[in-house]
Amino acid sequence: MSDSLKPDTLDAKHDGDWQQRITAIKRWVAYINAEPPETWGPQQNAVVNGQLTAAQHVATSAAHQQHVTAVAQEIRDLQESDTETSTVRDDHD
Amino acid sequence: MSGIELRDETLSVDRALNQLDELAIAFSDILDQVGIEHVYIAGYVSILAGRARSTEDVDVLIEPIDEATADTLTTHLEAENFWGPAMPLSSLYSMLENGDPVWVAPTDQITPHLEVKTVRDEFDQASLSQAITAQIGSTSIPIGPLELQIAYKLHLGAQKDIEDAVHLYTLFEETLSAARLERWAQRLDVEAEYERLTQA
Repeated sequence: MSDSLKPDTLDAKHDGDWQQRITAIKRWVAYINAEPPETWGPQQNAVVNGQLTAAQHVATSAAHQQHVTAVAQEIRDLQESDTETSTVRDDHD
Repeated sequence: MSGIELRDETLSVDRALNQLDELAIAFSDILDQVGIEHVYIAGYVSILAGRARSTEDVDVLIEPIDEATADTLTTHLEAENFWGPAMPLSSLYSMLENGDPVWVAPTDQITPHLEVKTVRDEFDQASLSQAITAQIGSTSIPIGPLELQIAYKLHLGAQKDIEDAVHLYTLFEETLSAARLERWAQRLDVEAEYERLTQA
């Protein structure tokens, strides 16, 4: 384990999840390549339109959505900053 | 099969339109009427190219415009029943001038919306000046060059961004320009990520 308090098992789980996501994306691309648009198009549009319809039904305000984006970005910046600090610390160990 | 083809700087997409496509096409029509150069970038480009995910915002870069052109755009948008969900369209010019994104959507709709930005850096400028054509249905819209889109997604680095890069690269690996991809990867300092992408 590094200086981080994050257990190694979480890193391994993250790596496994990541590999599964890549495999899923490649499987979808293979499906698009193998099937006509009449087959994959409606499935893709069900995902695109379905998520949007669900969001439209909740009808959150523009201010709320901007707040969500801004806070998410702040957390991401914080994580990146922590990673850089950890890397510098590791370099000095 | 497929129904998606990249050839001669044109991305042809042969599937039914979804809500994002309809929004992008309608806004592109208005920008064309006003004579504003523009280009669609980011997540929408991946979705246009078949990625099975959605997004709340369709990112579009426009050339810098003066106040009179912004007023004309506002007039056209209002006439076509668009509004600004985050700020009134009357503040379009000042927001763009300030470097802030402007949300535009059909009246009373928040999701999905267009996120309009003026080009700011060399990557935005390259997206605009090197835009390719996306042909969808009977219409076409300009999109950023896919090589830059992929490298920029690697640069952004969030999981959805990297997945978008994997999707585009896997789908168009044989037709993309490796030289252009390598150049953008170098420029954006994502050579290691690009190397990993080519081996995935």
